[in-house]
Amino acid sequence: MKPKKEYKTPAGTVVLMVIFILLIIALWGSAYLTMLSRGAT
Amino acid sequence: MYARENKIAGWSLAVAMIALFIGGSMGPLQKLNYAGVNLYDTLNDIGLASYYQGLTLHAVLNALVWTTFFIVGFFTFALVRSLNMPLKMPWLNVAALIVMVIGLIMAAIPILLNLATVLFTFYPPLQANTFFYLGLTLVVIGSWMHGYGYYLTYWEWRKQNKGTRTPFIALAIIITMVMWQIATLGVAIEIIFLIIPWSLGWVEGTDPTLARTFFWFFGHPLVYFWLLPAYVSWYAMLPKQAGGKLFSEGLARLVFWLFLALSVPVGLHHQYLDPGVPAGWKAVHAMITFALFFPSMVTAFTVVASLEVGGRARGGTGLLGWIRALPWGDPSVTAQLLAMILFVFGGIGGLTNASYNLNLVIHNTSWVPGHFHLTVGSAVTLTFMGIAYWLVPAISGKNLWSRKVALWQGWTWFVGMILMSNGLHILGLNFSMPRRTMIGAAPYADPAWNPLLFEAMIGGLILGVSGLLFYANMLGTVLSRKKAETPVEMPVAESMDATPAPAWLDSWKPWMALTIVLILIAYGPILVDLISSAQFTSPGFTPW
Repeated sequence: MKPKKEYKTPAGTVVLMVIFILLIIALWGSAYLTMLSRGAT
Repeated sequence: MYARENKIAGWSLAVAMIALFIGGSMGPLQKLNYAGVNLYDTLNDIGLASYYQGLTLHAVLNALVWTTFFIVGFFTFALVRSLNMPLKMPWLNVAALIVMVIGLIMAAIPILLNLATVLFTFYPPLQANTFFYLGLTLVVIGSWMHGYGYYLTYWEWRKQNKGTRTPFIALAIIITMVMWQIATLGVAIEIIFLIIPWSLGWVEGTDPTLARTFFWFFGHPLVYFWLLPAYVSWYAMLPKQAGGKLFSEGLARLVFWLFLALSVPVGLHHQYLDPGVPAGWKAVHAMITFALFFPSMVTAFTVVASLEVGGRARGGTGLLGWIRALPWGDPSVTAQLLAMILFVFGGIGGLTNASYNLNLVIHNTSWVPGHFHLTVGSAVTLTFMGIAYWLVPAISGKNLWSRKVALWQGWTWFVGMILMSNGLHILGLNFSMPRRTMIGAAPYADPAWNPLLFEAMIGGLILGVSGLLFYANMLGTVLSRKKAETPVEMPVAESMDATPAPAWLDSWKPWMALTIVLILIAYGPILVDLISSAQFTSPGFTPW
Protein backbone atom coordinates (compact mmCIF):
# COMPACT_ATOMS: atom_id res chain seq x y z
CA MET A 1 0.00 0.00 0.00
CA LYS A 2 1.29 3.42 -0.96
CA PRO A 3 2.10 5.76 1.96
CA LYS A 4 -0.36 8.62 2.20
CA LYS A 5 1.00 11.87 0.74
CA GLU A 6 1.77 14.51 3.38
CA TYR A 7 0.70 17.28 1.04
CA LYS A 8 -1.32 17.83 -2.09
CA THR A 9 0.05 19.03 -5.39
CA PRO A 10 0.10 22.84 -5.23
CA ALA A 11 -2.51 23.21 -7.94
CA GLY A 12 -3.01 26.93 -7.31
CA THR A 13 0.70 27.52 -7.75
CA VAL A 14 0.67 25.63 -11.05
CA VAL A 15 -2.19 27.86 -12.26
CA LEU A 16 -0.30 30.99 -11.20
CA MET A 17 2.84 29.77 -12.98
CA VAL A 18 0.85 29.22 -16.18
CA ILE A 19 -0.55 32.76 -15.86
CA PHE A 20 3.00 34.02 -15.27
CA ILE A 21 4.28 32.34 -18.42
CA LEU A 22 1.36 33.70 -20.45
CA LEU A 23 2.11 37.17 -19.06
CA ILE A 24 5.76 36.81 -20.07
CA ILE A 25 4.73 35.87 -23.59
CA ALA A 26 2.17 38.69 -23.80
CA LEU A 27 4.35 41.48 -22.41
CA TRP A 28 7.56 40.43 -24.14
CA GLY A 29 5.58 39.94 -27.33
CA SER A 30 3.96 43.35 -27.02
CA ALA A 31 7.38 44.98 -26.60
CA TYR A 32 8.58 43.05 -29.64
CA LEU A 33 5.59 44.14 -31.73
CA THR A 34 6.11 47.74 -30.62
CA MET A 35 9.68 47.47 -31.84
CA LEU A 36 8.55 46.11 -35.20
CA SER A 37 5.84 48.73 -35.56
CA ARG A 38 8.43 51.48 -35.22
CA GLY A 39 10.23 50.09 -38.25
CA ALA A 40 13.90 50.25 -39.13
CA THR A 41 15.66 53.40 -37.99
CA MET B 1 21.37 36.67 23.61
CA TYR B 2 23.51 37.78 20.66
CA ALA B 3 23.75 41.30 22.09
CA ARG B 4 26.87 42.17 20.08
CA GLU B 5 25.39 40.85 16.85
CA ASN B 6 22.20 42.79 17.52
CA LYS B 7 24.21 45.98 17.94
CA ILE B 8 26.05 45.44 14.67
CA ALA B 9 22.76 44.71 12.94
CA GLY B 10 21.03 47.67 14.56
CA TRP B 11 23.69 50.21 13.60
CA SER B 12 23.87 48.83 10.07
CA LEU B 13 20.12 49.21 9.69
CA ALA B 14 20.27 52.74 11.11
CA VAL B 15 22.85 53.82 8.54
CA ALA B 16 20.88 52.07 5.79
CA MET B 17 17.68 53.89 6.68
CA ILE B 18 19.34 57.32 6.97
CA ALA B 19 20.77 56.74 3.49
CA LEU B 20 17.36 55.74 2.15
CA PHE B 21 15.81 58.82 3.70
CA ILE B 22 18.29 61.23 2.08
CA GLY B 23 18.50 59.36 -1.21
CA GLY B 24 14.79 58.72 -1.36
CA SER B 25 13.96 62.38 -0.78
CA MET B 26 15.53 63.17 -4.16
CA GLY B 27 13.06 60.87 -5.96
CA PRO B 28 9.95 63.10 -5.85
CA LEU B 29 12.10 66.06 -6.98
CA GLN B 30 13.04 64.17 -10.12
CA LYS B 31 9.48 63.24 -10.88
CA LEU B 32 8.25 66.80 -10.25
CA ASN B 33 10.87 67.92 -12.72
CA TYR B 34 9.45 65.46 -15.25
CA ALA B 35 6.14 67.31 -14.96
CA GLY B 36 7.79 70.69 -15.37
CA VAL B 37 8.07 71.64 -11.69
CA ASN B 38 11.72 72.56 -11.18
CA LEU B 39 12.64 72.80 -7.49
CA TYR B 40 16.37 72.53 -8.12
CA ASP B 41 16.85 76.29 -8.56
CA THR B 42 15.26 76.82 -5.14
CA LEU B 43 17.39 74.08 -3.62
CA ASN B 44 20.57 75.73 -4.92
CA ASP B 45 20.46 77.76 -1.70
CA ILE B 46 20.98 74.66 0.42
CA GLY B 47 23.75 73.34 -1.79
CA LEU B 48 21.99 71.12 -4.33
CA ALA B 49 23.69 72.25 -7.52
CA SER B 50 21.74 70.36 -10.16
CA TYR B 51 19.31 67.62 -11.14
CA TYR B 52 22.33 65.42 -11.78
CA GLN B 53 23.78 65.89 -8.31
CA GLY B 54 20.36 64.92 -6.91
CA LEU B 55 20.25 61.91 -9.21
CA THR B 56 23.71 60.82 -8.03
CA LEU B 57 22.62 61.15 -4.39
CA HIS B 58 19.43 59.23 -5.11
CA ALA B 59 21.15 56.36 -6.87
CA VAL B 60 24.30 55.98 -4.77
CA LEU B 61 22.52 56.25 -1.42
CA ASN B 62 19.56 54.06 -2.39
CA ALA B 63 21.11 51.45 -4.63
CA LEU B 64 24.50 51.08 -2.96
CA VAL B 65 24.28 52.30 0.63
CA TRP B 66 20.72 51.42 1.72
CA THR B 67 21.02 47.95 0.24
CA THR B 68 24.54 47.05 1.36
CA PHE B 69 24.15 48.28 4.93
CA PHE B 70 20.72 46.66 5.28
CA ILE B 71 22.04 43.38 3.92
CA VAL B 72 25.01 43.14 6.30
CA GLY B 73 22.74 44.07 9.22
CA PHE B 74 20.10 41.51 8.25
CA PHE B 75 22.72 38.83 7.55
CA THR B 76 24.55 39.41 10.82
CA PHE B 77 21.26 39.01 12.69
CA ALA B 78 20.13 35.95 10.74
CA LEU B 79 23.43 34.04 10.40
CA VAL B 80 24.09 33.60 14.11
CA ARG B 81 20.52 32.50 14.76
CA SER B 82 20.56 30.08 11.85
CA LEU B 83 23.82 28.49 13.02
CA ASN B 84 22.79 28.87 16.66
CA MET B 85 26.22 30.23 17.55
CA PRO B 86 27.65 33.74 17.97
CA LEU B 87 30.08 35.33 15.54
CA LYS B 88 33.51 33.70 15.82
CA MET B 89 35.36 37.03 15.74
CA PRO B 90 32.79 39.76 16.43
CA TRP B 91 35.45 42.47 16.48
CA LEU B 92 36.05 41.74 12.79
CA ASN B 93 32.42 42.53 11.98
CA VAL B 94 32.53 45.63 14.21
CA ALA B 95 35.65 46.76 12.34
CA ALA B 96 33.88 45.97 9.05
CA LEU B 97 31.01 48.25 9.97
CA ILE B 98 33.40 51.04 11.00
CA VAL B 99 35.30 50.72 7.70
CA MET B 100 32.03 50.85 5.77
CA VAL B 101 30.88 53.96 7.64
CA ILE B 102 34.24 55.71 7.09
CA GLY B 103 34.00 54.81 3.41
CA LEU B 104 30.44 56.10 3.23
CA ILE B 105 31.43 59.45 4.76
CA MET B 106 34.41 59.72 2.39
CA ALA B 107 32.19 59.08 -0.61
CA ALA B 108 29.27 61.17 0.58
CA ILE B 109 31.19 64.41 1.20
CA PRO B 110 32.33 64.82 -2.44
CA ILE B 111 28.79 64.01 -3.64
CA LEU B 112 27.31 66.62 -1.29
CA LEU B 113 29.92 69.16 -2.44
CA ASN B 114 29.06 68.46 -6.08
CA LEU B 115 32.54 67.05 -6.62
CA ALA B 116 31.30 63.59 -7.56
CA THR B 117 28.27 64.07 -9.79
CA VAL B 118 29.00 60.92 -11.75
CA LEU B 119 25.73 59.01 -11.21
CA PHE B 120 25.52 55.51 -9.80
CA THR B 121 27.67 53.85 -12.46
CA PHE B 122 30.49 56.47 -12.28
CA TYR B 123 31.36 55.61 -15.87
CA PRO B 124 34.61 57.16 -17.09
CA PRO B 125 35.16 59.61 -18.65
CA LEU B 126 32.90 61.22 -16.02
CA GLN B 127 35.37 61.99 -13.28
CA ALA B 128 34.86 62.48 -9.54
CA ASN B 129 37.02 63.63 -6.69
CA THR B 130 39.38 60.80 -5.65
CA PHE B 131 37.83 60.58 -2.19
CA PHE B 132 34.57 59.41 -3.77
CA TYR B 133 36.34 56.39 -5.27
CA LEU B 134 38.38 55.75 -2.13
CA GLY B 135 35.18 55.87 -0.08
CA LEU B 136 33.39 53.38 -2.32
CA THR B 137 36.43 51.12 -2.11
CA LEU B 138 36.30 51.20 1.68
CA VAL B 139 32.57 50.36 1.66
CA VAL B 140 33.35 47.32 -0.48
CA ILE B 141 36.34 46.32 1.69
CA GLY B 142 34.14 46.64 4.78
CA SER B 143 31.55 44.35 3.21
CA TRP B 144 34.33 41.84 2.44
CA MET B 145 35.37 41.99 6.11
CA HIS B 146 31.79 41.24 7.10
CA GLY B 147 31.98 38.25 4.78
CA TYR B 148 35.24 37.06 6.40
CA GLY B 149 33.54 37.28 9.80
CA TYR B 150 30.70 35.13 8.48
CA TYR B 151 33.05 32.58 6.86
CA LEU B 152 35.04 32.15 10.07
CA THR B 153 31.83 31.58 12.02
CA TYR B 154 30.61 29.11 9.38
CA TRP B 155 33.89 27.16 9.42
CA GLU B 156 33.73 26.94 13.20
CA TRP B 157 30.18 25.61 12.93
CA ARG B 158 31.28 23.07 10.31
CA LYS B 159 34.07 21.86 12.64
CA GLN B 160 31.59 21.40 15.46
CA ASN B 161 28.88 19.82 13.28
CA LYS B 162 30.64 17.42 10.94
CA GLY B 163 28.26 15.51 8.71
CA THR B 164 25.35 17.83 9.47
CA ARG B 165 23.73 19.79 6.64
CA THR B 166 24.27 23.52 6.90
CA PRO B 167 21.01 25.21 7.91
CA PHE B 168 19.47 26.74 4.80
CA ILE B 169 19.49 30.37 5.94
CA ALA B 170 23.17 30.20 6.88
CA LEU B 171 24.10 28.47 3.62
CA ALA B 172 22.16 31.04 1.58
CA ILE B 173 23.90 33.90 3.41
CA ILE B 174 27.37 32.46 2.88
CA ILE B 175 26.70 31.75 -0.82
CA THR B 176 25.48 35.35 -1.27
CA MET B 177 28.59 36.76 0.40
CA VAL B 178 30.92 34.56 -1.66
CA MET B 179 29.16 35.66 -4.84
CA TRP B 180 29.57 39.28 -3.70
CA GLN B 181 33.25 38.65 -2.94
CA ILE B 182 33.84 37.40 -6.49
CA ALA B 183 31.72 40.08 -8.16
CA THR B 184 33.33 43.00 -6.36
CA LEU B 185 36.74 41.99 -7.68
CA GLY B 186 35.64 43.64 -10.93
CA VAL B 187 34.83 47.01 -9.42
CA ALA B 188 37.89 46.83 -7.16
CA ILE B 189 40.15 46.37 -10.19
CA GLU B 190 38.34 49.15 -12.04
CA ILE B 191 38.69 51.63 -9.20
CA ILE B 192 42.20 50.75 -8.02
CA PHE B 193 43.95 50.28 -11.36
CA LEU B 194 41.94 52.37 -13.83
CA ILE B 195 40.18 55.16 -12.00
CA ILE B 196 42.14 56.26 -8.93
CA PRO B 197 45.48 56.80 -10.75
CA TRP B 198 43.53 58.69 -13.44
CA SER B 199 41.57 60.84 -10.98
CA LEU B 200 44.81 61.68 -9.16
CA GLY B 201 46.40 62.74 -12.43
CA TRP B 202 49.11 60.06 -12.26
CA VAL B 203 48.07 58.96 -15.75
CA GLU B 204 46.70 61.19 -18.48
CA GLY B 205 43.77 59.10 -19.59
CA THR B 206 41.74 55.98 -19.05
CA ASP B 207 39.96 53.44 -21.24
CA PRO B 208 36.18 53.79 -20.79
CA THR B 209 35.32 50.47 -22.47
CA LEU B 210 37.68 48.49 -20.25
CA ALA B 211 36.43 50.36 -17.17
CA ARG B 212 32.79 49.68 -18.09
CA THR B 213 33.56 46.00 -18.62
CA PHE B 214 35.08 45.69 -15.14
CA PHE B 215 32.13 47.67 -13.76
CA TRP B 216 29.57 45.27 -15.25
CA PHE B 217 31.57 42.26 -14.04
CA PHE B 218 30.35 43.61 -10.71
CA GLY B 219 27.21 45.47 -11.79
CA HIS B 220 24.92 42.62 -12.70
CA PRO B 221 25.78 40.31 -9.80
CA LEU B 222 25.17 43.40 -7.67
CA VAL B 223 21.52 42.93 -8.67
CA TYR B 224 21.63 39.42 -7.19
CA PHE B 225 23.45 40.69 -4.11
CA TRP B 226 20.33 42.83 -3.60
CA LEU B 227 17.87 40.10 -4.54
CA LEU B 228 19.28 37.06 -2.75
CA PRO B 229 18.72 38.48 0.76
CA ALA B 230 15.10 39.07 -0.28
CA TYR B 231 15.02 35.46 -1.47
CA VAL B 232 16.36 34.34 1.94
CA SER B 233 13.28 35.94 3.45
CA TRP B 234 10.86 34.68 0.77
CA TYR B 235 12.11 31.09 0.99
CA ALA B 236 12.96 30.66 4.63
CA MET B 237 11.03 33.24 6.66
CA LEU B 238 7.89 34.33 4.84
CA PRO B 239 6.34 30.82 4.68
CA LYS B 240 6.55 30.67 8.49
CA GLN B 241 4.96 34.13 8.77
CA ALA B 242 2.23 32.94 6.40
CA GLY B 243 1.58 29.80 8.44
CA GLY B 244 3.19 27.45 5.94
CA LYS B 245 6.39 25.52 5.33
CA LEU B 246 9.20 25.70 2.79
CA PHE B 247 7.86 23.58 -0.07
CA SER B 248 11.24 22.22 -1.16
CA GLU B 249 14.47 22.98 0.67
CA GLY B 250 16.39 21.07 -2.00
CA LEU B 251 15.14 23.40 -4.72
CA ALA B 252 15.87 26.43 -2.54
CA ARG B 253 19.48 25.31 -2.08
CA LEU B 254 19.86 24.53 -5.78
CA VAL B 255 18.65 28.03 -6.66
CA PHE B 256 21.28 29.71 -4.49
CA TRP B 257 24.06 27.55 -5.94
CA LEU B 258 22.89 28.38 -9.46
CA PHE B 259 22.89 32.08 -8.68
CA LEU B 260 26.46 31.75 -7.40
CA ALA B 261 27.50 30.15 -10.69
CA LEU B 262 25.44 32.27 -13.08
CA SER B 263 25.32 35.77 -11.57
CA VAL B 264 28.76 36.98 -12.65
CA PRO B 265 29.37 35.79 -16.25
CA VAL B 266 26.50 37.85 -17.67
CA GLY B 267 27.68 41.46 -17.39
CA LEU B 268 28.09 42.11 -21.11
CA HIS B 269 24.31 42.16 -21.57
CA HIS B 270 24.59 45.65 -20.06
CA GLN B 271 27.07 46.51 -22.83
CA TYR B 272 25.12 45.41 -25.91
CA LEU B 273 25.60 48.90 -27.34
CA ASP B 274 29.29 49.25 -26.44
CA PRO B 275 31.13 49.33 -29.78
CA GLY B 276 34.43 47.99 -28.41
CA VAL B 277 33.00 44.63 -27.33
CA PRO B 278 32.73 41.90 -30.01
CA ALA B 279 29.16 40.72 -30.75
CA GLY B 280 30.11 37.06 -30.20
CA TRP B 281 30.95 37.69 -26.55
CA LYS B 282 27.74 39.63 -26.09
CA ALA B 283 25.92 36.54 -27.40
CA VAL B 284 27.72 34.28 -24.89
CA HIS B 285 26.68 36.53 -22.03
CA ALA B 286 23.13 36.75 -23.41
CA MET B 287 22.83 32.96 -23.33
CA ILE B 288 24.09 32.73 -19.75
CA THR B 289 21.71 35.56 -18.84
CA PHE B 290 18.79 33.52 -20.14
CA ALA B 291 20.06 30.55 -18.10
CA LEU B 292 19.27 32.70 -15.03
CA PHE B 293 15.63 32.37 -16.06
CA PHE B 294 15.67 28.81 -14.68
CA PRO B 295 16.52 29.55 -11.02
CA SER B 296 14.21 32.56 -11.23
CA MET B 297 11.27 30.42 -12.30
CA VAL B 298 12.15 27.75 -9.72
CA THR B 299 12.06 30.52 -7.12
CA ALA B 300 8.66 31.70 -8.32
CA PHE B 301 7.29 28.16 -8.11
CA THR B 302 8.81 27.20 -4.75
CA VAL B 303 7.99 30.43 -2.94
CA VAL B 304 4.40 30.52 -4.20
CA ALA B 305 3.94 26.82 -3.39
CA SER B 306 5.22 27.49 0.15
CA LEU B 307 2.67 30.29 0.45
CA GLU B 308 -0.06 28.02 -0.89
CA VAL B 309 0.76 25.54 1.86
CA GLY B 310 0.38 28.40 4.35
CA GLY B 311 -2.85 29.71 2.83
CA ARG B 312 -4.42 26.24 2.84
CA ALA B 313 -3.27 25.63 6.42
CA ARG B 314 -5.10 28.83 7.31
CA GLY B 315 -8.34 27.51 5.83
CA GLY B 316 -8.03 28.69 2.22
CA THR B 317 -9.86 26.49 -0.26
CA GLY B 318 -10.33 26.23 -4.00
CA LEU B 319 -7.77 26.71 -6.69
CA LEU B 320 -6.81 30.24 -5.68
CA GLY B 321 -8.89 30.86 -2.54
CA TRP B 322 -5.78 30.28 -0.38
CA ILE B 323 -4.44 33.66 -1.54
CA ARG B 324 -7.19 35.47 0.37
CA ALA B 325 -6.44 33.32 3.44
CA LEU B 326 -2.86 34.59 3.67
CA PRO B 327 -2.25 36.97 6.59
CA TRP B 328 -2.79 40.22 4.67
CA GLY B 329 -3.22 42.02 7.99
CA ASP B 330 0.45 41.40 8.85
CA PRO B 331 2.39 44.33 7.32
CA SER B 332 5.60 42.32 7.08
CA VAL B 333 3.85 39.65 5.01
CA THR B 334 1.82 42.12 2.94
CA ALA B 335 4.85 44.22 2.02
CA GLN B 336 6.68 41.12 0.81
CA LEU B 337 3.70 39.73 -1.11
CA LEU B 338 3.26 43.05 -2.88
CA ALA B 339 7.00 43.14 -3.58
CA MET B 340 6.68 39.75 -5.26
CA ILE B 341 3.78 40.89 -7.44
CA LEU B 342 5.81 43.89 -8.62
CA PHE B 343 8.78 41.62 -9.21
CA VAL B 344 6.73 39.57 -11.69
CA PHE B 345 6.74 42.60 -13.98
CA GLY B 346 10.35 43.47 -13.12
CA GLY B 347 11.40 39.97 -14.16
CA ILE B 348 9.56 40.18 -17.46
CA GLY B 349 11.18 43.56 -18.13
CA GLY B 350 14.54 41.94 -17.36
CA LEU B 351 13.95 39.34 -20.07
CA THR B 352 13.23 42.20 -22.47
CA ASN B 353 16.45 43.97 -21.49
CA ALA B 354 18.43 40.79 -22.04
CA SER B 355 17.01 40.30 -25.56
CA TYR B 356 19.54 41.91 -27.88
CA ASN B 357 17.16 43.37 -30.45
CA LEU B 358 14.73 44.72 -27.86
CA ASN B 359 17.63 46.13 -25.86
CA LEU B 360 18.55 48.24 -28.87
CA VAL B 361 15.13 49.87 -28.56
CA ILE B 362 14.96 50.50 -24.83
CA HIS B 363 18.66 51.01 -24.03
CA ASN B 364 19.30 54.27 -22.16
CA THR B 365 15.61 55.15 -22.26
CA SER B 366 13.33 55.71 -19.26
CA TRP B 367 12.31 52.03 -19.63
CA VAL B 368 15.47 51.16 -17.69
CA PRO B 369 14.69 53.10 -14.48
CA GLY B 370 11.10 51.88 -14.87
CA HIS B 371 12.51 48.34 -14.81
CA PHE B 372 14.95 48.65 -11.93
CA HIS B 373 12.45 50.42 -9.73
CA LEU B 374 10.44 47.19 -9.96
CA THR B 375 13.49 45.12 -9.01
CA VAL B 376 15.75 46.96 -6.58
CA GLY B 377 13.09 49.60 -5.83
CA SER B 378 10.32 47.08 -5.14
CA ALA B 379 11.26 43.40 -4.99
CA VAL B 380 14.26 44.34 -2.84
CA THR B 381 13.35 47.57 -1.08
CA LEU B 382 9.74 46.70 -0.27
CA THR B 383 10.86 43.27 0.93
CA PHE B 384 13.53 44.88 3.12
CA MET B 385 10.83 47.17 4.53
CA GLY B 386 8.70 44.10 5.21
CA ILE B 387 11.65 42.45 6.96
CA ALA B 388 12.24 45.65 8.94
CA TYR B 389 8.70 45.35 10.33
CA TRP B 390 9.81 42.34 12.39
CA LEU B 391 13.58 42.89 12.46
CA VAL B 392 13.58 46.37 14.00
CA PRO B 393 11.18 45.26 16.78
CA ALA B 394 13.35 42.16 17.31
CA ILE B 395 16.54 44.23 17.66
CA SER B 396 15.03 47.08 19.67
CA GLY B 397 12.87 44.93 21.91
CA LYS B 398 9.91 47.24 21.17
CA ASN B 399 6.63 46.59 19.42
CA LEU B 400 6.12 47.95 15.92
CA TRP B 401 4.77 51.47 16.42
CA SER B 402 1.77 51.05 14.10
CA ARG B 403 0.73 48.00 12.11
CA LYS B 404 -1.94 50.05 10.36
CA VAL B 405 0.56 52.67 9.18
CA ALA B 406 2.84 49.85 8.05
CA LEU B 407 0.04 48.33 6.00
CA TRP B 408 -0.72 51.69 4.41
CA GLN B 409 2.97 52.04 3.67
CA GLY B 410 3.14 48.73 1.81
CA TRP B 411 0.04 49.44 -0.27
CA THR B 412 1.00 53.03 -1.10
CA TRP B 413 4.42 51.82 -2.23
CA PHE B 414 2.69 49.25 -4.43
CA VAL B 415 0.30 51.75 -6.02
CA GLY B 416 2.92 54.48 -6.39
CA MET B 417 5.37 52.09 -8.00
CA ILE B 418 2.81 50.77 -10.48
CA LEU B 419 2.01 54.30 -11.63
CA MET B 420 5.60 55.52 -11.80
CA SER B 421 7.01 52.40 -13.37
CA ASN B 422 4.23 52.11 -15.94
CA GLY B 423 4.80 55.69 -17.06
CA LEU B 424 8.55 55.23 -17.34
CA HIS B 425 8.29 51.92 -19.20
CA ILE B 426 5.92 53.26 -21.86
CA LEU B 427 7.83 56.53 -22.25
CA GLY B 428 10.96 54.51 -22.92
CA LEU B 429 9.51 51.85 -25.17
CA ASN B 430 7.06 53.91 -27.22
CA PHE B 431 8.67 57.34 -27.18
CA SER B 432 12.39 56.63 -26.55
CA MET B 433 12.43 59.21 -23.77
CA PRO B 434 16.02 59.27 -22.51
CA ARG B 435 16.89 58.27 -18.99
CA ARG B 436 19.27 60.27 -16.76
CA THR B 437 18.09 63.49 -18.35
CA MET B 438 16.54 66.63 -16.90
CA ILE B 439 13.42 66.22 -19.01
CA GLY B 440 11.82 69.36 -17.57
CA ALA B 441 14.57 71.39 -19.24
CA ALA B 442 14.85 69.35 -22.45
CA PRO B 443 13.89 71.43 -25.52
CA TYR B 444 13.04 68.26 -27.46
CA ALA B 445 10.49 67.04 -24.88
CA ASP B 446 7.38 65.98 -26.78
CA PRO B 447 3.93 67.15 -25.55
CA ALA B 448 2.73 63.58 -26.24
CA TRP B 449 4.85 62.52 -23.25
CA ASN B 450 2.92 64.70 -20.81
CA PRO B 451 0.18 62.30 -19.65
CA LEU B 452 2.75 59.62 -18.88
CA LEU B 453 5.11 62.11 -17.23
CA PHE B 454 2.19 63.22 -15.07
CA GLU B 455 1.40 59.60 -14.20
CA ALA B 456 5.05 59.02 -13.23
CA MET B 457 5.02 62.16 -11.11
CA ILE B 458 1.88 61.09 -9.23
CA GLY B 459 3.51 57.69 -8.65
CA GLY B 460 6.73 59.32 -7.44
CA LEU B 461 4.86 61.54 -5.00
CA ILE B 462 2.89 58.59 -3.61
CA LEU B 463 6.19 56.75 -3.16
CA GLY B 464 7.51 59.78 -1.28
CA VAL B 465 4.53 59.65 1.08
CA SER B 466 5.03 55.90 1.49
CA GLY B 467 8.66 56.51 2.41
CA LEU B 468 7.60 59.01 5.07
CA LEU B 469 5.18 56.45 6.54
CA PHE B 470 8.04 53.96 6.72
CA TYR B 471 10.44 56.35 8.47
CA ALA B 472 7.70 57.44 10.89
CA ASN B 473 7.09 53.83 11.84
CA MET B 474 10.76 53.04 12.26
CA LEU B 475 11.36 56.12 14.42
CA GLY B 476 8.16 55.52 16.37
CA THR B 477 9.28 51.97 17.09
CA VAL B 478 12.84 52.76 18.10
CA LEU B 479 11.96 55.85 20.17
CA SER B 480 9.06 54.18 21.96
CA ARG B 481 9.66 53.90 25.70
CA LYS B 482 7.55 50.81 26.06
CA LYS B 483 9.33 47.49 25.85
CA ALA B 484 7.62 44.61 24.07
CA GLU B 485 6.11 42.06 26.45
CA THR B 486 6.95 39.18 24.14
CA PRO B 487 10.29 39.35 22.34
CA VAL B 488 10.06 39.10 18.54
CA GLU B 489 11.91 36.07 17.17
CA MET B 490 13.32 35.53 13.69
CA PRO B 491 10.74 33.55 11.68
CA VAL B 492 12.24 30.32 10.36
CA ALA B 493 10.15 28.12 8.08
CA GLU B 494 10.38 24.36 8.49
CA SER B 495 10.97 22.28 5.40
CA MET B 496 8.00 20.18 4.26
CA ASP B 497 10.33 17.30 3.67
CA ALA B 498 12.16 16.26 6.83
CA THR B 499 14.76 14.29 4.83
CA PRO B 500 18.09 16.17 4.76
CA ALA B 501 18.96 17.80 1.45
CA PRO B 502 21.34 15.79 -0.76
CA ALA B 503 25.04 16.13 0.09
CA TRP B 504 25.84 17.70 -3.30
CA LEU B 505 23.67 20.64 -2.31
CA ASP B 506 25.85 21.23 0.74
CA SER B 507 29.21 20.90 -0.97
CA TRP B 508 31.22 23.90 -2.11
CA LYS B 509 33.76 22.28 -4.45
CA PRO B 510 31.61 21.45 -7.50
CA TRP B 511 29.75 24.76 -7.39
CA MET B 512 32.88 26.86 -6.93
CA ALA B 513 34.52 24.95 -9.79
CA LEU B 514 31.50 25.63 -12.03
CA THR B 515 31.49 29.30 -11.01
CA ILE B 516 35.18 29.80 -11.80
CA VAL B 517 35.00 27.88 -15.10
CA LEU B 518 32.00 29.90 -16.30
CA ILE B 519 33.68 33.19 -15.38
CA LEU B 520 36.89 32.16 -17.12
CA ILE B 521 34.98 31.16 -20.27
CA ALA B 522 32.77 34.24 -20.34
CA TYR B 523 35.29 36.86 -19.28
CA GLY B 524 38.80 35.41 -19.80
CA PRO B 525 39.28 35.91 -23.56
CA ILE B 526 37.39 39.20 -23.79
CA LEU B 527 39.30 40.72 -20.88
CA VAL B 528 42.63 39.61 -22.36
CA ASP B 529 41.54 41.19 -25.65
CA LEU B 530 40.35 44.44 -24.07
CA ILE B 531 43.41 44.77 -21.82
CA SER B 532 45.88 44.05 -24.62
CA SER B 533 44.21 46.60 -26.88
CA ALA B 534 43.44 49.17 -24.16
CA GLN B 535 43.94 52.81 -25.02
CA PHE B 536 44.38 54.96 -21.95
CA THR B 537 43.63 58.17 -23.76
CA SER B 538 40.38 59.53 -22.41
CA PRO B 539 40.67 62.58 -20.15
CA GLY B 540 38.19 63.16 -17.35
CA PHE B 541 35.05 65.29 -17.67
CA THR B 542 32.99 67.01 -15.01
CA PRO B 543 30.04 68.46 -16.92
CA TRP B 544 27.84 69.21 -13.92
